[in-house]
Amino acid sequence: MTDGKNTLLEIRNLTIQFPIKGGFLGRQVGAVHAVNDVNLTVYEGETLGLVGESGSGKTTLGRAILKLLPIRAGQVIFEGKDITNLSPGQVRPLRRDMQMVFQDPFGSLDPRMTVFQIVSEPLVNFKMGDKRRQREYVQELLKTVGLNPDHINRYPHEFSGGQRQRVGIARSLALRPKFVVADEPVSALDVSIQAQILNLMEELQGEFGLTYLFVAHNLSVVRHISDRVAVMYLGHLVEIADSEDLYDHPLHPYTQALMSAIPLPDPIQERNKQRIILTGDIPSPVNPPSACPFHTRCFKARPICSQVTPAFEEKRPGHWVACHFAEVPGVTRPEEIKPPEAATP
Amino acid sequence: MADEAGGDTLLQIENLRTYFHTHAGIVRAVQGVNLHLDKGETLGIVGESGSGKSVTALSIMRLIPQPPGEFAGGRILFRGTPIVDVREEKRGNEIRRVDKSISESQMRRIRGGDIGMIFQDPMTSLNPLLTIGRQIAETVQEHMGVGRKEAYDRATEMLMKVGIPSAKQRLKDFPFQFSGGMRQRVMIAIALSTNPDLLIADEPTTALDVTIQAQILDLMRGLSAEFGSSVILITHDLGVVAGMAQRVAVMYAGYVVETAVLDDIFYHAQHPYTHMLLQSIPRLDLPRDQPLHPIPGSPPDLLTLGPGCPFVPRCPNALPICRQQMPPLDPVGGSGGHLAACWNPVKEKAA
Ligand SMILES: Nc1ncnc2c1ncn2[C@@H]1O[C@H](COP(=O)(O)OP(=O)(O)O)[C@@H](O)[C@H]1O
Ligand SMILES: Nc1ncnc2c1ncn2[C@@H]1O[C@H](COP(=O)(O)OP(=O)(O)O)[C@@H](O)[C@H]1O
Ligand code: SF4
Ligand SMILES: [Mg+2]
Ligand SMILES: [Mg+2]
Repeated sequence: MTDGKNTLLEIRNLTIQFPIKGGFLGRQVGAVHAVNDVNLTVYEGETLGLVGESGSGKTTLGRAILKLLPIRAGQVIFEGKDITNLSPGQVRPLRRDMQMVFQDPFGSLDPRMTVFQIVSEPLVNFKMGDKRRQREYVQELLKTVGLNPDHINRYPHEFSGGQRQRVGIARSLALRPKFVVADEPVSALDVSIQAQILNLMEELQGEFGLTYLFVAHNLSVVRHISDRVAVMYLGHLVEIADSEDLYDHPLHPYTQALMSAIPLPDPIQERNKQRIILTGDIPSPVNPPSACPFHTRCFKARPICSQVTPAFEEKRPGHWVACHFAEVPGVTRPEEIKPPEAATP
Repeated sequence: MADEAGGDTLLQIENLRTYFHTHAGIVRAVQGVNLHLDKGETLGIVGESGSGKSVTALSIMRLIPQPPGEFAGGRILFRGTPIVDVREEKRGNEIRRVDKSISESQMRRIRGGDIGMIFQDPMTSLNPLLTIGRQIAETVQEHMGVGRKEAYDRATEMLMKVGIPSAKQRLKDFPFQFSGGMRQRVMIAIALSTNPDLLIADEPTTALDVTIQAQILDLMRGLSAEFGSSVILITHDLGVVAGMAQRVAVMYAGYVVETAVLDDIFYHAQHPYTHMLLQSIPRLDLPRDQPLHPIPGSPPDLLTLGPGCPFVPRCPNALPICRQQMPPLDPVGGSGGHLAACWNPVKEKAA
């Protein structure tokens, strides 16, 4: 997948922190280490999946790429151009090329606006077309995303969750972007509706030549839609590989645990599968563990893991991982399975 | 195991109807729930949001706020005791509603004692102002008739059993001092502290991250074996059901539309909804480029449902009768106990 592909976006050593203010002078007393030294390339036309548990920094990373957040260190390079330090005025033209689809089809649409107003807002912002032309265009867009164009004057509450997500997608496409960050676009939808939206996103990708960063915590959904998948833990990118390769041969112990934790909708597989049950909770990003962020819960951890940060290395072609003990496939899956914490004799 | 006479049946629900009277009209949240649960069994209830899963659970606990809620009909029998028993009887020309449900004081003994419940969000059922130790101990004192000291010992024991480190010290902590996963462990400790015969878990892991979910499910598997409780596990996640339940009831628009032993639901689904739901989810064991088959349309609006099968607008098998009459939950397929409410069930291809 990565061979002979053009780079659309490159992220270099990206670090994002949120200050924590405290005390009565409101001084900074600490920071949330939301994204830590992340390196990532997104190729033109691909879907890059981004998975990780809540708080791992997925949304922050997506928002930073779209220049919606101050970047503390590192670079974002879009189409060969360093956009890290652009002024708001310089960012504006970029908004046409990069768009976002949000998780919550209920919260992200203004309830007082009609579908026409919602979808055409980006056009109005960029002074594109007159009202009549905008109307025709929005109706075309509605058709494209599987909505009835006659519903152009309706309000969000008149639509179901899946239909509202279609409205959000239509809006994100209005300016014909090249790159779309979809942040948990199906997580709030009913299971029977998720497939509709996933199929739609796949169709639109072909039709509009889109590149996706697809953020989600549902690993089955991510595998289905993504060409490559990146795994985050506590603000760190811990593994990235082609979708099949990652799911067939996860190399990072966290990815391995994550994969084994996916409940499979198949009783026989559930009965036979090997479970890796991690101990303990996800640590706080305010006070992240030293060196490897996963060492406090890792079933393979050795003393070195809390002392030396593991390098992000390419263990197989296109398969990168940050772990001192990442196995090369062909060697075993972990045997050291710990029981859940403490308790029952 | 179940015998035909139902001697080992712990819970039996017949034609349960639970309605809500709202400004917009009557919401028939539960309009035809039939299910039973045997001793020691884990029953999974699956269905999309709004299908009536929580209302079913709250009906069993008799925690439906009345008004706006109302038990419009049906029975819930717990060890033969009528938690709910509402029937319509004809006297001459008059139709009267006869309510033979047990009193609230009888119900209080069952609730939290014989039946424990865990919710999706533990914060809604934990008191933020009381220590965890006190909350467990009070439940134990109330339902098990033991003294304070014994109740606190039981609380420590339960926190240990659910895998909370330094259990004894943590008795003094308040709910906000626990993480989401740890709070759910506390809820499980409270629910199991009275040795209930039945544990109802309503989306217990939906709000949790997947590795924490795996911990909690693992804990529940171990504990239900150890305590021998029967469990009703409510979830929208077919994967969670596949790993936890022995039997499954599938809900749609307030009805149980299919019920069977676990493998029959997953490998021999008879109701078009169950069948299509299983086809619509991405699966790790199939090739990545396998297309998904979505269910067209949207879940129904309970306020505007017609008289027939609620799945009719989305169903490829629909017949004219489907629009007119709700199909009964009748036996289908090979092995016993497989029921589906459908006029035109899925025909299985001969293998
Ligand atoms: N605006 C903000 N202010 C302070 N902390 C934030 C802000 N946004 C996110 N965070 C914190 O940054 C971390 C990463 O969050 P997020 O990127 O939302 O994770 P994810 O999307 O993977 O769930 C979390 O600990 C979160 O609480
Ligand atoms: N107190 C209430 N008042 C009015 N409607 C209610 C109330 N509680 C539940 N409902 C309605 O009942 C239906 C079923 O809800 P619920 O059982 O919570 O679904 P599920 O748990 O399957 O997602 C929904 O349409 C919901 O809006
Ligand atoms: S009863 Fe009719 S509409 Fe309902 S599921 Fe069966 S075939 Fe489909
Ligand atoms: Mg997020
Ligand atoms: Mg519910």
